[in-house]
Amino acid sequence: MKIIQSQHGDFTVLALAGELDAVTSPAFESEADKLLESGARFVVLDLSELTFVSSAGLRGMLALAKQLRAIQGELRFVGLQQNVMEVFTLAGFHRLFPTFSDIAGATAS
Amino acid sequence: MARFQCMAAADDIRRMEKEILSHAADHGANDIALSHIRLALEELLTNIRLYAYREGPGRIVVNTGINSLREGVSPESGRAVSDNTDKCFLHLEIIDWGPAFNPLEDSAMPDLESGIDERPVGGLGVHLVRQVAASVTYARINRPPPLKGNNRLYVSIALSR
Repeated sequence: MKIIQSQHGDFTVLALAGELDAVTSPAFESEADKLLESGARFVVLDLSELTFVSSAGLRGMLALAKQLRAIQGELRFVGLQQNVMEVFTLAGFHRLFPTFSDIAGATAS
Repeated sequence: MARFQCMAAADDIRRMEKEILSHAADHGANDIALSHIRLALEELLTNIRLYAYREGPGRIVVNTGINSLREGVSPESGRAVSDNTDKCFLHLEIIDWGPAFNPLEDSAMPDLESGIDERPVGGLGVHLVRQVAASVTYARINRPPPLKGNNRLYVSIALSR
């Protein structure tokens, strides 16, 4: 899995490419920890190049969301592919998080 | 029936998953079915790697079968109510030789309604498998020593919807 970070105003965007599963989720969680240590509060996960997510990936995303909320921050999502959206729906994540179709929408306050 | 096997190490599991997905695609699995099969394999094989074989990699065997289950069968005549209700399923029998471990036990339906602060982190793997599979069951097969008993998971997933 590849992770590319960029800044859009107050929002830090992490673009995840590839598969987020039990093997790759530690790398994502490590990037998330670095982000929190750097003081980021508003984070967008760009999943437009993410082809697969398992419960291990969801666990890392929820952990990040909880930590951001603890510092009055927020986690948003953009560009979910059909099968990733299905997993979000089955896990009830579609009710927890705002999802957007493009970066401009996700990074508008 | 086809038989696949791997060691419970991440790379070898991934290789076997690809082989099973290719096999399912050859038998008509559409993209949605393939993503369901991938998800079920990922969740269940990761459980085996992390729990059944926590003290070191062991062998995993997956037997697969594909058949057409006739839905709406009349109990009186044994005949299908409608020929249009046929569905094709991939049946997986996943075997490991670790200590007895039933991942379906104590896997209550997670609370999907609560907010971010209230939602526990984790506990979604078996829930996801139950959602994408038509059925999932567990059996422990005990053997007299020196033979090793084994855990068997039986999973059926529709190949198309």
